[in-house]
Amino acid sequence: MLLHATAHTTLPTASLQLNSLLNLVVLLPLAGALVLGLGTLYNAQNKTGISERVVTAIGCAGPLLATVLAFLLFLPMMGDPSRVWHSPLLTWMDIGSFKIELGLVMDHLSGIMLLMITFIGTLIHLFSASYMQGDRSFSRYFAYLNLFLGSMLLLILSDNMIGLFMGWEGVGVCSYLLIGFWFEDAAKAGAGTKAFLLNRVGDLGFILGIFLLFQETGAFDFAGIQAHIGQTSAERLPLIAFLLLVGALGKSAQIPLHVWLPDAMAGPTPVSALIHAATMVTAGVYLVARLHFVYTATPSVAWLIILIGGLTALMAASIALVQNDIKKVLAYSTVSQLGYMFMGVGAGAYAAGIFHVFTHAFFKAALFLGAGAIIHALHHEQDLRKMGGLRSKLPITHLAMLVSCLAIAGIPPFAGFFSKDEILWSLWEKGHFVFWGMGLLTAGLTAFYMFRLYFLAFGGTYRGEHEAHPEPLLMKLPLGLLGLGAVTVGFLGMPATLGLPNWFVHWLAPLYGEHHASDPAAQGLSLILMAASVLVAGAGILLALKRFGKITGEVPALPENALTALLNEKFGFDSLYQTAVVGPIMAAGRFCRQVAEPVMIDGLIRAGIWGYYAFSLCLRTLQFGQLRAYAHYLIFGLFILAYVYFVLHLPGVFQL
Amino acid sequence: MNHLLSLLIFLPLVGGLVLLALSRKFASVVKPAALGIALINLLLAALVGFRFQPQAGFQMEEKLAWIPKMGIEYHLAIDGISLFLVLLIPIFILIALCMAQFSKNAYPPAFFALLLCFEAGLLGTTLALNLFLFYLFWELMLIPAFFLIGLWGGPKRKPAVLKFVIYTMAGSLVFLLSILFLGVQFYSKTGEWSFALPQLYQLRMGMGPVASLLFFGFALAFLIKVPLFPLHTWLPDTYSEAPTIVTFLLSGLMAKMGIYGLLRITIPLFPQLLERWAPLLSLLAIAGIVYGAIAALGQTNLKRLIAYSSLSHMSLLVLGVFTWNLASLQGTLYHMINHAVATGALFLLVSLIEEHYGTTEIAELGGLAKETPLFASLFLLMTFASIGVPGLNGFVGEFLILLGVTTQVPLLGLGAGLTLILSAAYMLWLTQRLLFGPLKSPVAEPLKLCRYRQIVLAPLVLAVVLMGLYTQPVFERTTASVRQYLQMLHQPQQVSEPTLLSDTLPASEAQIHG
Amino acid sequence: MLGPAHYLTVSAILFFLGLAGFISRKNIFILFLSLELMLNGINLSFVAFSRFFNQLDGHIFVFFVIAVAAAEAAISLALIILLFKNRQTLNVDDFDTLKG
Repeated sequence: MLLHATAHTTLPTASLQLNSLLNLVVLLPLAGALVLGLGTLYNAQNKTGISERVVTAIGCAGPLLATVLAFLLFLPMMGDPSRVWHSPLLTWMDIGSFKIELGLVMDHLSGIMLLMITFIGTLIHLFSASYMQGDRSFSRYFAYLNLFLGSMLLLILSDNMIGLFMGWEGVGVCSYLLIGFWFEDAAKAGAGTKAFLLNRVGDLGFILGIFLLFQETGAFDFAGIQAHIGQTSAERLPLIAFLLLVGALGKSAQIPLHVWLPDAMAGPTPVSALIHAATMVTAGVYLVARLHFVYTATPSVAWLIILIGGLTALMAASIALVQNDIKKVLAYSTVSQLGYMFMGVGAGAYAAGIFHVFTHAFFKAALFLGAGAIIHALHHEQDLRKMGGLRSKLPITHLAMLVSCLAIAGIPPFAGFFSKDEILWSLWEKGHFVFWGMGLLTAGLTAFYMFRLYFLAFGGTYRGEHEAHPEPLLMKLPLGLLGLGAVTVGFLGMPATLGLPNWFVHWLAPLYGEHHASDPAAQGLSLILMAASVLVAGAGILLALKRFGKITGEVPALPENALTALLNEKFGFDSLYQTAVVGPIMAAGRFCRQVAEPVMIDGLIRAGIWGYYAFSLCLRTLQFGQLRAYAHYLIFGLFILAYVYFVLHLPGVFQL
Repeated sequence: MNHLLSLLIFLPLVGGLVLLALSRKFASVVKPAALGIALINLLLAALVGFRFQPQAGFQMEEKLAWIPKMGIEYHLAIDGISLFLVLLIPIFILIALCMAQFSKNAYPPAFFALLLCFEAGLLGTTLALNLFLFYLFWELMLIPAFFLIGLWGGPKRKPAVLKFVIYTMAGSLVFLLSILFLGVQFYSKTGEWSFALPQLYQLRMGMGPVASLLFFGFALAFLIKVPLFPLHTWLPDTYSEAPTIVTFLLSGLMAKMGIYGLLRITIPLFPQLLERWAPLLSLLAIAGIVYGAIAALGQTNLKRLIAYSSLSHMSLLVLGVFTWNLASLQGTLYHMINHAVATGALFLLVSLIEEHYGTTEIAELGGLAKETPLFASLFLLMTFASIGVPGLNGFVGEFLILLGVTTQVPLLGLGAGLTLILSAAYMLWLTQRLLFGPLKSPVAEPLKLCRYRQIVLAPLVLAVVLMGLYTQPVFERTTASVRQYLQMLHQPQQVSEPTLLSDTLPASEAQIHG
Repeated sequence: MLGPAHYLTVSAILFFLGLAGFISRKNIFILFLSLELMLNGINLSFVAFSRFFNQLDGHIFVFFVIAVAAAEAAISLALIILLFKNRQTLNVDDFDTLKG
């Protein structure tokens, strides 16, 4: 409600120009994308080259400026808690009965997301400049990356569902383009298609949800929806909430639409860091948090969110145990952490969920960039079994990845500990003990597989063939900054139950409120739960240390049993979809081409034509060619006509 | 300039016929002359667009008695519903002519002349307000199409064009019968003859079986032209056998005439019957959306694949028409342009492939993105436009149609929404096979878009990008007309059943009975 | 006194005689004569009605019919001669090349 009031009534005239800076935040990366895109095409057409330096400068300028602007806009918000930036962007349509105006809003939720996305986005742009060095399509890459950043910013800054959906699909397209960036490899292009299609399944639900919500509330903008949410029918609202959730599930790779994310690792690694770990995939969580009023009103759907989140977290964490591709481990880890976030927002702890989005962005981006640095150093080797002993060769990468592993494992005082614990605490507090247990188990698994990755990559001795070369400066800088973030950002949200200042919850209080329940009982319980999760995480790390700590020779293969087979099969989702959905549809398509069209539908019509022809053959036999026969017909017809005429119209004539 | 609309029709008609007559002897003159006429016509259309007032009702009316005894008159006018078709047609014809001019397969002068005649038929159909005149132009459209396909099509063009003509004629004859029957009805109700649409709109038919029969009589020709599942089997054959430049026009313009006919004639004549028959037609439309998409997935030929995709998209338009609320109708009008632009552009790009590589079999091509980045980018852009990616034009239309449908019947919205997934499936699978993967090409030379073609394609690219974000220029001009149109549909009117053996028998007969 | 009924009876007899001849005979000349007979039957009824109603329409029609019949006779006799030259027969049953 606060958002509504500030946005529409008290728009200070003096800040009008500052307002439009918000538009610049979105438009700058898009402009960069346009310039680079046209430049790429021009060069391709004229066989000219453009130096990578220029491309880097143009490509990074947009994100960098956007970051600066974001901070500029953020500072006044820090000073004045009621300050919300709102800026109209474009009247998209006015069809007579309603009008759709796209606008941007920077409130406390989108503000924090904006900071995170621009900051991490810029770092990843810088990292990419080094990672993609020498690639044939250097400028195309930056065009896509800028386009992505613009779409993502539109997604989170939009003040209405339509703009959000535009950004939503826009990031989907960029994801498609970037996953299939090296399109000469058909498998990579295929992974992009798969990602886009699964997202489209979610988007269908999403847009239907938008339509029905519009029907109920008469508004596309969040303020309007929130104002009218009370008048919606009790039967419709859960359906709407569910449909919107389907969209979130698609974008955030939750069961059952999660299968695209691991395949999405076909893209360049910085892309995985930016799109498939830090920003785009968290859009689903953002959506739920943005529409919190819908989910607060529909407890059944909210419960479904926790369930899906919990199952996804556990399932993905267990699959990650057996992956040997460093990026696949991180991908499943992302799916698992997204499940965590869903549990958080499902339990109504929106601030905790967003906090995990925030911290996760830092340490997961650091992990992916670290993986990128390793892959770069090892000449595109991604198999963990061919790594090892990289600690001395890549010191900065090692350090950043170590703190990030500690953060994701939930070891205090690293970032992940605070956010994860906040979610676990709210699960317990709301009485979802089973889900709390799932979360705890996931935490243990997470610690284990992350340190398995860590030890396989950095511990023991080097097992690969290629000579590793050290990471360049342009990689060190983003890695260092993100690693620093993994260590520090957690302190923004220290547990309020222990009486510590929780800046993050306080910051989001205008949206979600804030409650201070620091009674001694809760304090004690909270400490016990915390200890439990840290113990489980510690146990996971120790186990990983014991199994993988000092591997010098071959990495021992996994035992072959039903469990590992199931995990290797990734619980069979892919093959299920292949046999139950893709296969039948493709078969139906072939059936259409080979049978339905030529034989059935066309055949029916051809049968009609043959019937007509047969009928004409019958009539032909009447034509003897005998003049006198025709005369007979003629007279016969004459008599019939005369009879009909007399009987119908002159009934008295035969009576005389 | 009170005869702007007539000029718009008769300039290409007369020009086309004259050039056709000259095409043997003065071959060198014909092509530039045809281009010139098309260009002048485009300017005239722009003038029409410039003069158009964004308000309800018909504008720039031209009325001339023709056969007054039968109520047949020459009556043209334009309103917000037809405006954008009138603007679209000259642009598309000019693009087609330019593409033919720069094409390597040297199209003969007669091809150019016939394209102009085709333009006249299309424009006449869009502007005619008298049923008789409408029918005349409707059939006029078919004649050049017949020759264009039959003379310059692919190897199996003869059966294809026969099928096309038989299908279309079957619909047309039923249409003609229905026109005559409706005229008789009007005569029996009012005692005078009229085929003027505005007058016939007042003649509200009831809900009886005869009225339903008449409704389908009026719908059949249009539904075949669109086409609606399962009347579509002429489409893949015709689209794939026609010269691709002609396919561009068939899918971009001629198919739209079906939708326009439904909007202009079928629905306003029988608003009472909509409630009854719209569910059936909507279900058929959804069947068409899904069937077309699945059939497209199974195709191995580029042209056939896009032909089926066109079937799927056109079915969405039919659904929009038969949902007849403000959102869906506005969306339909908008999406008519979008589909014309996106699918048309895809066909044009395919024509370049066909010309350069000599094949349209998908299996023989691959990895073109590496070889021709500009071409691949355009193809990808049009793909995104056609699958409705927001920010591009396709989304606006799909959004409004789906919004209109979903808010009316949510389940239908779900069915129609499958197009989001399925269209992405077949189009992206196509781009994956055609543009991505390792390079596979039957010729050594890479496909290069020459500057001329870049210029010719530029308007389509601009339309795709601009119309996705800047929609007001269109909606400003359509809104008033669509509102008035909906009011007309919802107006309660005195309804009378049509009669088969009507009371039109002369009075003397009655005396005999007495 | 003779009423229209008498005239009409004669006219009907003439017409049906012609009709019977047209159906039953095979020689194309006879068919042609039968046709003329039918026409004259009709002509008779036209004249009778014309006289009865005191209007000239019937007379005009009869003149018209006679003129047409004359023209027809001129053309068809020529045609029959050509036909005989070609086929050496006047039996209509032999002319059946137009069968479907």
